[in-house]
Amino acid sequence: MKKIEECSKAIAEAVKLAKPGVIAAYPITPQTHIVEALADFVGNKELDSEYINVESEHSAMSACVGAQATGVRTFTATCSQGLSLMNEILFIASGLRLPIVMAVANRALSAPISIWNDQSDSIAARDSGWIQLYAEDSQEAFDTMIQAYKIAEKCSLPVMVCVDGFTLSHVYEPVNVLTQQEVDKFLPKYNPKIKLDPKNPVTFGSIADPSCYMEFKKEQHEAMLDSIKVIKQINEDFKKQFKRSYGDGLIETYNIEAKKIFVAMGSVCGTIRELIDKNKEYGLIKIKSFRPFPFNELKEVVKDKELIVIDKDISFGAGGALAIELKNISTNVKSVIAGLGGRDITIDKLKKAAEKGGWLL
Amino acid sequence: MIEIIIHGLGGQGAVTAAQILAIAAFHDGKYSQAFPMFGVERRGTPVQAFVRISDKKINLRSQIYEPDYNIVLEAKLLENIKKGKIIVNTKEKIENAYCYSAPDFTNTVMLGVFVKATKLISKESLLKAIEERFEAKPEVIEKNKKILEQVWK
Repeated sequence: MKKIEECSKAIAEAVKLAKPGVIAAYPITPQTHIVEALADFVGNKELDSEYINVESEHSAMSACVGAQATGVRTFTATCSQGLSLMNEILFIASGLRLPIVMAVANRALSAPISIWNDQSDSIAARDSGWIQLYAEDSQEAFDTMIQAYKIAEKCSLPVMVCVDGFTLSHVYEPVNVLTQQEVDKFLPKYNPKIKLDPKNPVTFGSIADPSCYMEFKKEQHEAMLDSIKVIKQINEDFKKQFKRSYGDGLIETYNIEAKKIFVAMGSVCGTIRELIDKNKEYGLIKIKSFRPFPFNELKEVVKDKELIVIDKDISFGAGGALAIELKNISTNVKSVIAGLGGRDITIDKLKKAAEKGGWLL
Repeated sequence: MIEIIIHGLGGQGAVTAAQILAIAAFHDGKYSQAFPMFGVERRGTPVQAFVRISDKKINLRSQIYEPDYNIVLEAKLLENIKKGKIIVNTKEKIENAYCYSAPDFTNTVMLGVFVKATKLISKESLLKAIEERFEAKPEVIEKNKKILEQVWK
């Protein structure tokens, strides 16, 4: 059903349709509307889920880890300082291969305090072993949430779905919301092979000495690489059932015949599309999946192109995180740091970026 | 594409008004987008909320700098406005602005004034949007609708 609502609400509805058994969350701006909507769903019995009010994001992720290990779907959402506080447990979730799904309403990190959008928070969690998917608009946010559960459970890997805080999380725009029946058909019941069960005791994450720790990590890395296939397949399945898709599930292109190609993640891709509609000398590669990073998928596409890579993050002393990746496969990369702490990215600024790169102040 | 900025003070409901306008445009069969200007919102400080309405899908995500219309809930915010037509809540007569005094339910009344003056959105869709946005507070719906009717008198 097509309706108009806040993106955060659309995300909450997608989570509701996935029927998580446990939701544990701590409010933080601009993520709060997502878990508020879910609390309403649980409160008025639209969703039969255990909603745990925790005292911190560290506890939120810990509760999700414990719950998921018993064999139920879980959900949490956070951003910025909240995601940083969770950091320790992010690695435990992925190391235990628990398919937890989390929404991140991307927000800048302190200090100085900023409640506004950039992607430094999720980028800082880059190496935590989570699949990271970035959405451009409300529809993609909704659809990606549904897909995220399927991807996570197929790969035994946790997935974070990132939406730009305020810039997307607080936008009212039309969105097609699927029915329970449709989602049930797409997303099978969660039935993990191994779970915590007193009748069949197992241990998760017990100590691994130097003789085996490395094998765990290699498997984790290989699972991440294998998830590329899974993400593509699930994008295809979704397309077949709902007639919507996002490129190959990992990257999406627009006017790729152009010579000058913007590479970006999240909602800024919309503004870039608007620029391209006015000026066909530019094209776009939208990176939907930052982890796993689609090197092979990009290699063909970036050939002979002049890349203008927009990063809404900064790896101090190295540069934009996305640009660093692109430099692995192209020698023609213009790195642009933009939109930190909510600095607005306009079409005029993008044109300036295309010329000289650097910091878009 | 039509671009609108709603200017208000924190607590006057500029953000809610933008959402209602976007919902109403949607019910008229259009594409629409509403989002707040992410200030540290608290009572009494200036707030801007943005609305875009189009026949096509709206991709643009930047803030609005050259609006077609400004809906101004508090007259002292007029000094910030440089571009676009102006509809303002004031008892005074101000040149080059459409003036209307809306001391109560300022945000929805000014939406009514905007809709009546521009006809960009149908009255029916505006009323439907108010019902939808205040679904959780039914007592507010009737009061809003009643006071809105006076705009059309």
